[in-house]
Amino acid sequence: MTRFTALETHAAEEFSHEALLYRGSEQWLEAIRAFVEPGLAAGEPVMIAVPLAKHEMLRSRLGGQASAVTLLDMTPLGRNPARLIGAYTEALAAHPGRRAHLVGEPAWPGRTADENAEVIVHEALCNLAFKGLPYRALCPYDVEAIDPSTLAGVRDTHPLLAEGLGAAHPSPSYTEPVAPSPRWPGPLVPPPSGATYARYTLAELRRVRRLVRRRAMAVGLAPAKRRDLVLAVDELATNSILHAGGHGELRIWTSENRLVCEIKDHGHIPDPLAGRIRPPADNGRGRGLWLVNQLADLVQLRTQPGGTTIRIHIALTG
Amino acid sequence: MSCGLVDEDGIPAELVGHGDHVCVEFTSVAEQQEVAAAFVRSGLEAGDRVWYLADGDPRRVLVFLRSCGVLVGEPLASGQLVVLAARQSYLRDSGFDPERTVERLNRAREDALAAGYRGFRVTGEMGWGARVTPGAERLEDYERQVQAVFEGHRAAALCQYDRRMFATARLDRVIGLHPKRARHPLISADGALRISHASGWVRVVGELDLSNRSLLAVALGRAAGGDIHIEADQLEFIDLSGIQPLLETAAALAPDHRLVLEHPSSAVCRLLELLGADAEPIELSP
Repeated sequence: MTRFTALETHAAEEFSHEALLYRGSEQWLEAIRAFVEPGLAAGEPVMIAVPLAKHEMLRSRLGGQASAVTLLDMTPLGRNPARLIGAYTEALAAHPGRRAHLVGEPAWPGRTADENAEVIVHEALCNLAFKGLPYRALCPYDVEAIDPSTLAGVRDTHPLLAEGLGAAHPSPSYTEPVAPSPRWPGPLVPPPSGATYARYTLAELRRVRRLVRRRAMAVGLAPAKRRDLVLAVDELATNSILHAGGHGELRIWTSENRLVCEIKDHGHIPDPLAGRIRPPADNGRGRGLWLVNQLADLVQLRTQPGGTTIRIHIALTG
Repeated sequence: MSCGLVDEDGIPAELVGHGDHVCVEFTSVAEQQEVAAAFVRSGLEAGDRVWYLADGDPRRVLVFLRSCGVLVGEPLASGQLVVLAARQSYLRDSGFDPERTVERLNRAREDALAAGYRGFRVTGEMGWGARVTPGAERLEDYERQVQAVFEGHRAAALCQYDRRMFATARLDRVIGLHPKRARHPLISADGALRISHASGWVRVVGELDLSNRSLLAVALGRAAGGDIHIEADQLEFIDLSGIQPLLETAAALAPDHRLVLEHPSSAVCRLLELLGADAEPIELSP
């Protein structure tokens, strides 16, 4: 009991963010069980977001305690990693001021390098978003399945590291983020030369939508996804018009099995958490970005004084 | 009578009801088509038989009705919608005969009711009245007499007058013979958004965004005072900028008043779903 009290006091003061570098499902199961045990014993909120395929084995490992856990399917939830901080925040809003235990596995075999780069941005921003909040987070990464470059990002963005069932220790390469650390995210590869291109001002907003709709139809995007993509691009172009000097550039292309739309303008988004947490109803720009994050399968945002590029990806299938 | 006055005093074509004998004046084809299509659409939706009397080729009418989003196929096949040329209707009697035209309209009204329709409505393009046509000089007579076809009956009329075709004094006289005038919708500069409004009622058609949301704010301001019902079935696109006037109006309503979106399109539903609790002041009526 004394040990738990000490942990509670510690956790109540700051956000604890730990990466679990595991090999095989036994390490995964046991490390998660051990991580959530004190929370379950204390009757505190415990939320585990991992791919659905792993839910059953986790339930049987947790046994009778499984019913006290909020188990979420990470595959749809974390499809666009920029949605995760908002989803966690909204789920935990039901327990204000309470210590909460969070397990999130946002990278899984088959995710692209672009997606994994955004996973690392998400991990870096967790340190900002949850700073000072009484949350403990464990982020499992499968060292046998995840590429070395992503694993390097995991080490850079988690203050604590645990290898397998070993004790957690401070990560030597962790850097406190003021904004996403310089290595994450990397620069975007230039758009292909054949990309559809249009400049826009307020007068062309409708034309922008028509262009996106036409391209989406040409590549056979389903109507509901087409509508979501058109809305997302419209919100980004509206942001350029309202907050970035009134104009911007749109590029559209397909990449593997994705339709990519890029909005480029002269604006700057200084808040690294912009669009990641549902903003209050009267907030213009943050609200548009938040909406875009809910609509797109992947969002790549690169911003600096004088210029912002935002790419949104929609999967053509699935 | 100026267009401005008509706009202030009139009713939207969608709200023309049984018993009404309404005129609309216009100075462009776009204005005319918008109002005529709204009249036809709401008549078909309400279950009335609708006659459209065209000054010229009826096929032109079908083309513009379709382009204004009126589904004409089924109503044409079933006989709910009838489109006739002026020479098959007003000018059937080798010229214009007001008495016989009124008689035919009375019969058409009774036929429609006998066939099980909720009522009868007719809209006519009156341009032939400005041309050299035998009997056309009796247009004023006709507008006086035809009132009886509709007044107190399950029937309504919209008479369409092109201000460019008539002498001003004559047109003002003819217009004055109609108890009500139809009001033109507010249309954005690029034609992407059309808004009709009356007290407590707004219909929004097309695409609503940052470029034209001020039109919606104007319409909502004029419709305010009690509950506001918004027809949104043909609102094809709406974004955060577009929903802002609705949210602001809904939030500013007196506690016992409501803002209700009627038959919201899938675009509207999707945005409201994403906004979740933030969109709560807006009520939905599927």
